Amino acid sequence: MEWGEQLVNLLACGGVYALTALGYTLVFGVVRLVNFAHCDVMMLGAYAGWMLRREWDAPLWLVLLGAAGLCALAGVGLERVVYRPLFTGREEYLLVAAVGASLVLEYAAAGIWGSAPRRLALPELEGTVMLGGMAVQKGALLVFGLCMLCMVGLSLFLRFSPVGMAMRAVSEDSMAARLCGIPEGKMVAAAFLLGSALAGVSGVLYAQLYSLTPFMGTLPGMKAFAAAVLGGIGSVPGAVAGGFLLSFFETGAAILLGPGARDGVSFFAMILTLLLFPGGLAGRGKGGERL
Amino acid sequence: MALLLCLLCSVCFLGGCKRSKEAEVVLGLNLELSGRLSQYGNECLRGARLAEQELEKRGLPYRVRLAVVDNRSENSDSVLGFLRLTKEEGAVCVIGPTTSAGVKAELQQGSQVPVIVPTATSDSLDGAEYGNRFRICFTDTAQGRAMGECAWAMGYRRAAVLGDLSSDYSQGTSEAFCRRFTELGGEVAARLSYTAGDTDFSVLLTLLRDSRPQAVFLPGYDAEAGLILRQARQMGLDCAFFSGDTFDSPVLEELAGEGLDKVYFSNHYDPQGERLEEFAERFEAEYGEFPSAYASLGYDSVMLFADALVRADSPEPQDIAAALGETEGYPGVTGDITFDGRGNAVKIPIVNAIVRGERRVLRMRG
Repeated sequence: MEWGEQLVNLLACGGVYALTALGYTLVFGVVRLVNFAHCDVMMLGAYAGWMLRREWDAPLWLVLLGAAGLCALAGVGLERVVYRPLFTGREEYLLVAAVGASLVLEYAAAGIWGSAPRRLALPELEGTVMLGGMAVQKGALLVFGLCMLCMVGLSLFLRFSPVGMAMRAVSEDSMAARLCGIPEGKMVAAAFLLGSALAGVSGVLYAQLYSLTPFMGTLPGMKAFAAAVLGGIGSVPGAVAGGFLLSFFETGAAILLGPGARDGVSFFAMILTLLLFPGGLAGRGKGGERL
Repeated sequence: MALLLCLLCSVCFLGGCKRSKEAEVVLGLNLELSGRLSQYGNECLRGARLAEQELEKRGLPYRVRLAVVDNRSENSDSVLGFLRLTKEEGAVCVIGPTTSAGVKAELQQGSQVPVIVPTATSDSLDGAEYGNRFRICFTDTAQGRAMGECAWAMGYRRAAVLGDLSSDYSQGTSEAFCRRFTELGGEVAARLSYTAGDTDFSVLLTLLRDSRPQAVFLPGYDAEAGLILRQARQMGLDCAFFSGDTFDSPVLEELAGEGLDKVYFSNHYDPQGERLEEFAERFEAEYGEFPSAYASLGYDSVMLFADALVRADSPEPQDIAAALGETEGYPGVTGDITFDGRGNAVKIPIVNAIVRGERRVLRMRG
């Protein structure tokens, strides 16, 4: 068993988790809502990319951009239609609404595209390049690169841009932010928009590596959420680190204990990490700065 | 007078009702139309619909109406579907589900209504408690054995098995393959497994490659097996792949892509056989595609039911069950159907091969 080969493979899987985890973290950071439909937005992105390629033979950048755009719309729509009317209610309502929205999206997709698995073939991303004597898949490199780019870009955006600062202000203390004249609703929508666009990109990349089904988002979505928690939910670098760490746990477990042990061991490792660092890797406890 | 006329009319009306009710026989279809295994159920339904049209043209003494329920590829819904068909729709016979676990769940109901099993191959469907079950395809033992012999005959001596831990079909065929292959003198170098729903097989395939097999037996469903084939070829694994009847699936071909080479699997029909030709023409005229084995077996199930119904000359489930049991040499498009004492059709697996994306039939039997 060659560890090197497996670790390279980890780039792709961890990158997808990380990109999706960023969406969970953004939305949670701003409104303290676990958006369970986030993984289904990712699935929508995959189908959008698939349609773009199949119907119009769109180039790769357009496939990614189109998926991101459609998901951004879907995310904002979800916020407007499903969540916003409930923000004033109790938190449980939001949670139930999230689960409901997730089911509606899944079965709507099954109704439109059928539930048989499909393949999103992007020949540009197939094949390998040699990197330091190891064969690395082009797709994996792109996932990793995009992921790093998004993490840095998002961190800078939140720290220095006016909108990013306003989002952080809402996250810190929404009442005080409102008193300062920051439009809270718009900031929430911005969090959904950004997070969902990233989910669209990760959906296309995930589908390219494996396959598309209406239920494809469930498992990677759950893992991405776990990654966000692992990294310290609300933290951008934490989400990315969490994604790669979770993927590392999975691969390690699969190599050492057999492929069947993958999910169990990785979640066990996650619980252990959280016992040691209750605030996640980013280490921010309750009430600390988020985003 | 008016009253009398009224009465007369209503008697006529009721009588008419009664007669048309008698003439209509409901045949239930309990199929995977959505969910993980939907491609198998939908294929089966396409064949069944074609048979329904055919029966209408033929004009039987009974009008056969298909009542279809979707069991969403879930065992619990298979049971609910069966109950709905038999209790509410009044089905006198049920076809499906297409996979063994679903059929087993449905048969636990211990109903008197006969069940025609079009495509479920698990040996565990055998047994005295399943008296009214008629399976028109071969069993897992038969196909695992046939593929073991096929791999040996093609000159492979070192094999590995990659099975789906959550499937009866996969376990049964693997067992039979290993037994036959080692009996003949071959060596099974590794036995590995995955679970349905997995998507990343890189670690598994690295382990597989380390065992240096010449042939890999991969009895899995299309959603996972298609990905495995593609990822295996991407990793440079060049060995031959053997499998069972689940490989007859357009989804597998789509997912596997360029991985579709040196693939051999046992199938229910001979795509180039004479029997199929005429049926294939009609199927292509209707759907614009060549019929898969699942569609062909769906067609045979409905036609066999109609045959038994005519022979029984009674719409009662017991009579139909008895007539089904007496079936001898029914000429189906997938081959002759004669049931042995345990309700299994005696059929021989036919080896289909896919070489560089092209499908052909290996003339290598039993």
